[in-house]
Amino acid sequence: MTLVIGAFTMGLILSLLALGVLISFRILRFCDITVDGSITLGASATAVLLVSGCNPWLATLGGMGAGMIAGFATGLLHTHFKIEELLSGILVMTALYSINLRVMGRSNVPMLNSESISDWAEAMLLKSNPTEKISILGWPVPVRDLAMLLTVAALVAFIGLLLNLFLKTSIGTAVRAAGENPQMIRAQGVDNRWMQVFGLAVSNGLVGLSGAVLAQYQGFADVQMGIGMMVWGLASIIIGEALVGKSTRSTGMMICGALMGTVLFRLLIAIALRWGLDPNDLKLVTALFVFAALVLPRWAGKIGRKVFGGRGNAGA
Amino acid sequence: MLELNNVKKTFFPGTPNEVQALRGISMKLEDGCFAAIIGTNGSGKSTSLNAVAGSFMVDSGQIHLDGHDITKWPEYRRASLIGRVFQNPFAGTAAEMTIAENIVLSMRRGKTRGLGLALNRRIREEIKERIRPLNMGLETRIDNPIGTLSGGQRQALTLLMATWLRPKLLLLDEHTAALDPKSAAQVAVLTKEIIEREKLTALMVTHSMQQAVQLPHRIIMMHKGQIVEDIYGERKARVKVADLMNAFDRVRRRDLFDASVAEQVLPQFA
Amino acid sequence: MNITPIQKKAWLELKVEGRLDASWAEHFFSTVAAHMREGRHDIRVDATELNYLSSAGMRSLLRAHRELAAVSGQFAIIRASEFVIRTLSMSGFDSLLKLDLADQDDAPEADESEDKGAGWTSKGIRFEKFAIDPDARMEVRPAGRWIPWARLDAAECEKIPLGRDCIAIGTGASAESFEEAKDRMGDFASAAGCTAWLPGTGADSPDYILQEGRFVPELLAANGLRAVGGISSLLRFSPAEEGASLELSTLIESAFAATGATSVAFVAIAEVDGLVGVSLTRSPGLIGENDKPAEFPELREWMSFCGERVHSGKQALLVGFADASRSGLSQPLLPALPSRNGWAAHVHAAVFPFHPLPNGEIYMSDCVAQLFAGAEPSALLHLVEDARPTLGLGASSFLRGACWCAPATFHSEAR
Ligand SMILES: Nc1ncnc2c1ncn2[C@@H]1O[C@H](COP(=O)(O)OP(=O)(O)OP(=O)(O)O)[C@@H](O)[C@H]1O
Ligand SMILES: [Mg+2]
Repeated sequence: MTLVIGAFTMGLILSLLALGVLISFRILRFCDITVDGSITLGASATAVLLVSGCNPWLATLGGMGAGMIAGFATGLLHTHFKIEELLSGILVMTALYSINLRVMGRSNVPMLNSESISDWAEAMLLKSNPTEKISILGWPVPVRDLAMLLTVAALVAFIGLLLNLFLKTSIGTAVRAAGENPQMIRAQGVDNRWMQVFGLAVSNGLVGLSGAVLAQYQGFADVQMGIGMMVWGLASIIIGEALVGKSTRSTGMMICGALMGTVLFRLLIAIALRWGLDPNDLKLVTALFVFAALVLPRWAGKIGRKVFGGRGNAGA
Repeated sequence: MLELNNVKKTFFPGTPNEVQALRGISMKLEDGCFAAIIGTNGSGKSTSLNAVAGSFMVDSGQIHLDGHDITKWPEYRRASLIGRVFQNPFAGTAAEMTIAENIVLSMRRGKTRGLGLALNRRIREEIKERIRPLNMGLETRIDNPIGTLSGGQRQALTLLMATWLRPKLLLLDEHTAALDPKSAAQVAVLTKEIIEREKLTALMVTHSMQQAVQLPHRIIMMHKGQIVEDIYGERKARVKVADLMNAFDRVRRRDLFDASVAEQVLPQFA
Repeated sequence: MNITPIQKKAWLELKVEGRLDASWAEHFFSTVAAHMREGRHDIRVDATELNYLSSAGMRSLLRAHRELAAVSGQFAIIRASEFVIRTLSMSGFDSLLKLDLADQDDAPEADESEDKGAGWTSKGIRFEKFAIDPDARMEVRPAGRWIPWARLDAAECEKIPLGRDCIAIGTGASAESFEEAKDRMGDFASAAGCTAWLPGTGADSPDYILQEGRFVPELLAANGLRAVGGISSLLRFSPAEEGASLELSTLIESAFAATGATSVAFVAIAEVDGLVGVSLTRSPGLIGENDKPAEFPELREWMSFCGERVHSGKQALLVGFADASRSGLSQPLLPALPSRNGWAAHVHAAVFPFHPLPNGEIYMSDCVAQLFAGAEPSALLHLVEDARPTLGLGASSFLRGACWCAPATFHSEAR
């Protein structure tokens, strides 16, 4: 049971990252690799703030803000300095590696002694229910784990709703249009470049937020923790789209899909690990999964056409 | 009023691919004047419209619109004065967003966009009200993605969006060319209606001589980046499709009249 | 519907099978018109297999009848089923029925024998010559003294009457005064009281003025050639083989041969195979001090070139003067003809929609008047030859028509 709760919590935390990737990859149609750096940035900024005794929520906000700055930088490089999108992401991500080391002062910051969201959540839950273990379906669960799960779930729900609302505001619709049809939105009097910068800031803000919460959940920030996160987010989105249907473009459905996709993916990974998957192979498996998800539908189409080619596409 | 003063544009200057797309375009378009631009392929019609809309900065010359010197304005800033419909029905709308969202984007053309919800009941009613006269049944589908509509419907909506807030200038670049004949006719009629009702100043690129003769007040003919004919007033009133064809013929013949021809015909003239 | 042409000695028989209704009427008429174009002016219809005839069909029969009557030809139904006979007589169209003609069955043509024509064939073109007045001549005088491309002076212009007794070509304008004419001088061609002129204002189509009653049109000419006198002979020509056409220089050569003279004036009406020419698009009256109209590229502001062989299938009215005696070469308005050594010619062509000419001997004044009465001229060209290698458009050429000509005497001064 602890395992399930752990996977859920982790999935929910990473779903914030998935929302960030959703904005850059699906809404702005910008392949933003800054993510790998900004999640670490969010984590390290939060860790350092916490260690210096800052309020955990403020520290979390700080991590989010740091992520936004990273996204802003990537956006600026692309739109105003005319650097290709992948390259601007790589530049910022690379720079962030050093910046993260500088922020933390070393490659790993443990936060064993500082108050984090987890501590705050545990305290809240203990106030209303002062027992060490709570039993769910007969399984005893540590209060700390449950409290963290509930807090993260609430946070994710809140952020998801907020994001959904944001995408429906005047500026949010403009950001979406800028991603889909820059020419059209320019003709409506909007500087699509700033929309892109803004969208990337929001996207990386969410990623930073994810990093901030992740660090507090794990109890440390590590300069390596961001590696492969962008692909991770992509995998989650792809699973999410499989769940809610790829054709749906309603903002609410897209957000739900990304959330569910991340949690499901995390659960699958947890199960795989349990069955003996070497954690070192995790990123390879993720990459293979994304590869398969991108390529298989095309192959399936081709093979389908070959097999059923003679009969045309009747019944397809 | 739109005023172009000796506007020039060369693409890929100094390379073998150099194209002098505009070789000094000057024109004055009075307020409320609806002008059509016709011309052979590659004569610079679209480039003229793009120059006015600000898709690129011109090499030299000035563009004034509504009393502003907009020569150096970026495209999005000019959009506060200009409404635009493109040839490609996909270009003017965001396919995955709904009809209502697309329209609401155009309702704030050139205005600031804040954190207020883009759509509310009142705005939705207004949208329905204004698309009902299209008679396309779209008012019941305003929450469908605009990509599910036909090209003709999308183009009609784009036209509506471009004129939702009265623009100082409406730019139409062969906006009926990609449509089937029936939709093209529908959109052409709608264009005329809107322009007449709102007394818009408009520039329309068209390949249809019939359209050029019927719809606008003025016909501007381009050839190789220059204006070669400007037909308005009395002349416009009596111009026929055949006259435009003749005008095309004249510029074509003029191109064929080279130095070697001159050498041949001069001694035979007298 | 099925139409089968059967060539008889003296007429063309069309065997019509099936239904002649609204959907076939146009096809039927255009088939008849195509045969008329080839000079078939006696067309007889075998309607025994025609099993339906609607009012639209009847109208097309009537139209064919009228068109052929206009060129003194004949259109008749010589055999028909009971049904067709009944339908036509009941609708009052029985004049179309000439069932008695069927019995003649290809009798030798008697009509043609009275013609004075003598024929020959050269380069795939069949010529026929009709002597009209062996003593007739044309006296040709210059009108106006403008020498291209100098500035045009009011004193150089001359007002010329263009009545039925003269033919003329040149540059001028229909205007009272020089001031009025100045900005509209252009090419003109005049024959038998009918004048077409292309205002040099960039106009697409020519204007025209006709002599009506006592009104004799006048033109203020900057320069030109005007001839009075009579026609000595008529040449008829038509292709004797598929694809043959008559070049302008060959037409002139035939005129020399027909008149036995080395200088001729002529008027011709002919179906166009292709015209090559130039026209003034800007009035010479506007030539300013700093203008150099005779230099390329400025020339293009003043003159347009056809660019390709134009007006194929139309009917052209040609008015021209030609000289092979070299005496005419002193005339400024007779430029050398590049394709023929020592020849000089100046020919203007006014272009009309095609309308067939009657066969045989016909009169110039009637034919010209009919041409102008039928439709408006659509273009006017000063014909030139384009002998550029590969790119060149060659010379104007014609398919069939009539050419009225006379020996010409060139006078260097106006009388
Ligand atoms: N963005 C561009 N980059 C390079 N060349 C361009 C660009 N836009 C136009 N051109 C070139 O400029 C010339 C004029 O093009 P333009 O599109 O204005 O022609 P047009 O009159 O609109 O023709 P069409 O009828 O084909 O639309 C063409 O030779 C074209 O190739
Ligand atoms: Mg174009």
